[in-house]
Amino acid sequence: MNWLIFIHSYLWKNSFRRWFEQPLSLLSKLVVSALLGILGAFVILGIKELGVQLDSRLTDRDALTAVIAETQNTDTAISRIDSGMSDSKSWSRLGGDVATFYQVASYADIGTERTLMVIAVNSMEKLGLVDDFFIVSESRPKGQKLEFEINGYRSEGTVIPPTEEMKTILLGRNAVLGEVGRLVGSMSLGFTETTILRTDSLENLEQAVSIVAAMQKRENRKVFIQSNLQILRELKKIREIQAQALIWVTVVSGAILGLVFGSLAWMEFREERYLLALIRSFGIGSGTLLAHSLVENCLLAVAGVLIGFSCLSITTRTVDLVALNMSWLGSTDSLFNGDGLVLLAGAALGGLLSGIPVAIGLRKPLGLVLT
Amino acid sequence: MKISCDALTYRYPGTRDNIFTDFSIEFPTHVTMLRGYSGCGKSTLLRLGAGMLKPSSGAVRMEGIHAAGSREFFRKELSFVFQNLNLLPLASVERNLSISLRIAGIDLGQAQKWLEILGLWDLRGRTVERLSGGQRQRVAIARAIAKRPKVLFLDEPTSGLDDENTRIIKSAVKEFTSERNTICVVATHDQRLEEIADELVDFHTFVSLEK
Repeated sequence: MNWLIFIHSYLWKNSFRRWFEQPLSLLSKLVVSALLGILGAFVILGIKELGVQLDSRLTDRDALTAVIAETQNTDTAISRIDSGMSDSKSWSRLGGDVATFYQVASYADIGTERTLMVIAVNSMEKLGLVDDFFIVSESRPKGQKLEFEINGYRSEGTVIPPTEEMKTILLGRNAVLGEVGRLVGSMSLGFTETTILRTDSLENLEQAVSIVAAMQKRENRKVFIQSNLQILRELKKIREIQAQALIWVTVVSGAILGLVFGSLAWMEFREERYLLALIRSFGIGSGTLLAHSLVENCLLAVAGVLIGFSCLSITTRTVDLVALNMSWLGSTDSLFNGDGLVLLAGAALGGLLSGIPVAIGLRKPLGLVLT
Repeated sequence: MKISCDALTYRYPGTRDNIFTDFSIEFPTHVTMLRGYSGCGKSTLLRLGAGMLKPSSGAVRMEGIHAAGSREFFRKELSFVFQNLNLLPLASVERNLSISLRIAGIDLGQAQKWLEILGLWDLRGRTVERLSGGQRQRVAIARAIAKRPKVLFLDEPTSGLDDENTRIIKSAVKEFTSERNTICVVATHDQRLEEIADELVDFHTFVSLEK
């Protein structure tokens, strides 16, 4: 096998000599790969940043929250109360947090305000409160005692600030809050049941939407759901497109490098075809010569891309990216730790593609080259 | 040990006419000289015989030759001196020999004898581009026979050379073929080489003239 070591060392010496004699060819390969590396790095880092933002949106509890509302009139309110209003248990099976509020179709009167919303809940304990009446208000001092009247029923409530879930319903207004058991009389006149469902995944949110659709269709209920599902689906679709974009970045980089390197490799092959044919006439197979060409071009392509990454990394460290509104470019180190592998694979692919014209050239019979 | 060319037909790619059709010839272990006018197909036959061209039809059979047709055959058993020599112009004489010899697994020291016989020993460090035409021709011969091949093809080895260079090449080829059992085929129109041939083949009439 000494001859194999010898011929490979000879071919590498020949490559170094060629690089030295024709530095423009070497530079072209490195510069084109480096530019593609930089361009590809921009795309990859941009996609990565977009992915991070999309992921945070897709996993954001607020984005995964649905508001389910169903209005009961005087005809249906009693039977709904008698049935135990069990929907919240169904929603609980989807995982996440469930909070149900019943907006009574009556107003409370506290003297200064005559049209206060009345909100009933299944359990005050779940809200961390004792079983009593409360006046939910952001503007009134916490702990203040206020008298109120609902449909002739008079009582007193303590002022508390609204919870996050209540804010969704109150929208800045004040309300009287009490347990269902204390407000059955008023609820029998009608109410709107509002369930705030904070799911923990897009799949569960999709399931909730499906359940509501089934309620509307099969049970003929006037139940409505409000969610970000459509937007989230689109975001998920964008996330999927990102994966495809990365594949395309690899393929296109590979194809461009393949074309550029292939053209240069073909020119180099034409210059060296007599030498290569002579070496073949000494008994060296075309495969050995092709392998050398492939390794040389793959190495140059990968080296060029790494040079591109390094240039980008140095530039991002010296430039104020925040001022340029390009802070997403700050994670160039990740190019060397895995994110850049896609581009390196593309570069290697380009190096391999460049072997095609050389392989075709090496198929020519020796007797047609050497005369 | 012999090379048999059976019913060979060959046409160059992109041409209409055959160079030859159903042509058969045998090259035994002696010096065969192919004579004929330029363009009659002598060089083509050499390249077909060496396996560097694939015949359009017919076959080249190598009998009694180790690893015939394989890369090992090209590496160790075959030497071919091309009409254009195909030397490495920027490499030294020694380097030109060493590439072929090292691939064949032969120590460069064994080439000394042939470099001396061919008058190249003192020129061994000189690059080929600085040699005269005759000297280059001798380098190509040295590269071919220093490998000690079993099959030696020489395509116009003395074309355009003066008598002195021709004499040196003749004596080297004669010495090599007499000391080794070699199939040697020389394609030439140079009559000065006839004295080293054991067999002359007139390529124009395909008549074999045993000497």
